[in-house]
Amino acid sequence: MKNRLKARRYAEALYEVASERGHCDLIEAELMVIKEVFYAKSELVSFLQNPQQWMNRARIIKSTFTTFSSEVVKTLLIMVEHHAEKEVGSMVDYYVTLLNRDRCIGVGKVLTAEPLAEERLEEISVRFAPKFNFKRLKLINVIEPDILGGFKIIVNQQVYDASVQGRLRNMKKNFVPLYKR
Amino acid sequence: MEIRAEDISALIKKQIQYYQNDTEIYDLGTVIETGDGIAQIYGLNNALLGELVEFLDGTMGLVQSLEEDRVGVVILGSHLSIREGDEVRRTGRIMEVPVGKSLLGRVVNPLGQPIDGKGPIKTRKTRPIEAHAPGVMERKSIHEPLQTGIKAIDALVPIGRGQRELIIGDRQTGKTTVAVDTILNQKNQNMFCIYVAIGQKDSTVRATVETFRKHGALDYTIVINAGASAPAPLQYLAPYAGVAMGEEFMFSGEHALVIYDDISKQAAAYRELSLLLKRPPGREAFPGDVFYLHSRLLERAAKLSDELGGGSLTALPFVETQAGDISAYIPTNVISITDGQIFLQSDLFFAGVRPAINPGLSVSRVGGSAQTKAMKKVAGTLRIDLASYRELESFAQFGSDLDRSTLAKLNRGKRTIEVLKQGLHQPIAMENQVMIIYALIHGFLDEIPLEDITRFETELYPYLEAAYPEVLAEIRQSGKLASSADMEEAIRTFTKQFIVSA
Repeated sequence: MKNRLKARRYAEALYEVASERGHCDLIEAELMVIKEVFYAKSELVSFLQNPQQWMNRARIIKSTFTTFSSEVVKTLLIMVEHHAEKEVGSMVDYYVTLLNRDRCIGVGKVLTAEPLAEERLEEISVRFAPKFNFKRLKLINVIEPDILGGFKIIVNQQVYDASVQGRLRNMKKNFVPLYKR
Repeated sequence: MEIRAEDISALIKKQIQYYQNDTEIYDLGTVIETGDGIAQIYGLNNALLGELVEFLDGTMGLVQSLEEDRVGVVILGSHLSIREGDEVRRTGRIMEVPVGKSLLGRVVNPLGQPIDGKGPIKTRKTRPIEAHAPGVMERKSIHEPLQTGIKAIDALVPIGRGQRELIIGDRQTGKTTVAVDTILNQKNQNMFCIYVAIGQKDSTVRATVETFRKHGALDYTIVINAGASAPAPLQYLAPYAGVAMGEEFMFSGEHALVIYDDISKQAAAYRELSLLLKRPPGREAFPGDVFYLHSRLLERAAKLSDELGGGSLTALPFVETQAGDISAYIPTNVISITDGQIFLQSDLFFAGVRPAINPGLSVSRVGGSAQTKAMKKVAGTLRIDLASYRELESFAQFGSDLDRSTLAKLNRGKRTIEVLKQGLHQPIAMENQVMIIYALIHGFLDEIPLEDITRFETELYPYLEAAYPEVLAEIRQSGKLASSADMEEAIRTFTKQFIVSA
C-alpha cells in the first residue's frame, strides 16, 4: 500500500525529467527491459538487499546497465540507495500509466465469456475510445465465464458493463426493494 | 423470494417511462479491506466526501475519508456480505432520507426504512441528511413558546420554538421522561415531534413508543431508532436523519421538535468510526471535529423568518454525564453550542424532587422572550425566591430560633419545591400552571400543610375547569393574566372547600 505510493513518487520525478528532455519513449523501452530484469532475476533484488554487498551496489548497477540512459541509471541508483529495490516494478508501471495518460491512450481489458476475434477487439477499441475520453484504447481480452454473455470493458477503474451478468444484477436489484436487501 | 405479477408490470411500466439503451460508464473501486463496519476501497478516484457508493450486493456505503489512492467508506447495513476484492461503484448521489407527513406514527431506522412492520412508507419526498443551516437573514428571533407541560421547565427555564435546549444529567435522573412528557404535551399544539433514540436498548425504545401510542402522541411523532446493536455508522447518522425530517416540516411553515436521546452516545459512535478510519484521536480519544459534529447538527434548529413561512425547528439534545461531571469534553462542547441547559441531578431525584431539575444550574438564554405574559408575570421572581430559600435552608439547620419573616420564607420555599414536583406522564396545561403558581406566590398555599399540596393541586384543576372555565379560557386565549379579582376569587373559593387531611 505505502510502497505503491512510494513508487509513484519516483515514477513522477522520472517522467518529468524525461518529458523535459523529450525522450519519454526511449526511456519507456528501457524501463520495460529493467522491469523484466528486476522481475525475472529475483536474485538481483535479494543481492541488492544483502547487507554484505551494500558497498558494491552502486558499482554493480552502473556496470550492469551501461547502455541505458543516464536518467534511468540515476533513478535506479537513487532507489537502491533508498532501499526501494522492490518498488522498481511498480515504478515502471506507473511511469507507463503517466505516459499513456499524456498520449491519451487508455490501457485496460475487455472481459468476455468466449475469446474475441482480433477484428472485433479492434472494433471495440475504436468504438469505445471516445466514450472513455481517450484517443485510442489498448485492450487485452480476458476470458471470464461468469460474464455469461456480452462484454465488459474496464479501463482506468472505469467500467462499461454490457454483460448479461450485469443486466441480471440490475434486474434483481429492481425487484428487491432497498430495505429488504 | 416471491415475485408478484403486479410487481413485474409496475417495473416494466417504470422501465418504459425511463427506457434508454445507453449503458453508462461508471467508476469502479475494489474493496481492499473490510471489517468493523468500515471498508477501505482502492480506486474511486473521483469520489466525493459524503457520497454514496454501492457494493456488489446493493449495500450502500458512505464515503468518509479520501486518501491518495483509496477511500474509506462506512457501510450502511450489513457488512457480512462484503468481501475483499468486491466491486464498488459510485452512485453520484449523497445520502437522503424519506421525509414528509406519511412518516408520522412510524418507527424507522436512520436510513428512513420502516422497522415497525407496518409496511412501506408512501412518500416520494426525500431530503439530504447533511444540509446548510439557515443563514442569518433567514432567521427570526424566537418569540413563540414551546409548552413542555412540565411546571419546573415552563416556569423557570422556558423553551421557545426554534431554540436548542440541552438536557443534561447522570443516568437514571429522568432525562427521557422529560422528553416523553414534552412530546405528550404537544397534542393539539400544532407541533410535529421526532424522537431520535441513539444507542438505547430496543426494549426501552419499544416501551417509549408504547407510551406515545397509549397517550395518542404517536399520531404526530416520528421515532428514529439506532439501537445499541446497530453499527456505529447508523448511530452516527441517526440525528442527521432526524433533523432532515424536521427540516421538511420547518420549511413548509410548520413547527417541529426534534429530541436527540442522547448525543453523547452519538459522539461515542463517531469516535469509534473515526478511530477505525485511522483519524488521529484527540481529547478523550474523540476526533478533532467532534465539536463540528454537534454544532452543525444543532445549528440547523431555527426559527425561520416570515418570508420563509415562519416555521421552526426546536432541538432538545440530551447528554449523559458521568457522576455529575459537566466539565467533561462533550458536555462542555454542547453547553457552549446550545441556548441553555436543563440540569437534572441525581441527589434531587432521590430526595423525591421529580423532575429533578436543578433551578440554579439550569438556564434558558432565549426562552424568556418566548414565555407567555401570564407565565412571565407569575414566575418572575420564582427563581430568585428558590435561590434564597436554598441559602436560608442550609443556614436554618443550625438554629431553631428564627424570626417570623425567615420562617415565612422557609415555609414558602418548601411549598415552592412541592409545587414544582410533578408526576410521570402528566403534562399540565399552561393556564393551570399559571393558576397554581399564582396561588403559590400570593400565599394561598401557606396555610395548607406540606403533605396536602399535591392533593390540593390535583383537585384544583378539575375544580377550576368546572367552576371557572372563563378564567382559564381567558388566560389560554390572551396569554395574559385574568383580572386579579377573578383569579383570587377562584382560588379562594376552592381553598375554602378544600378539606385539609387531619
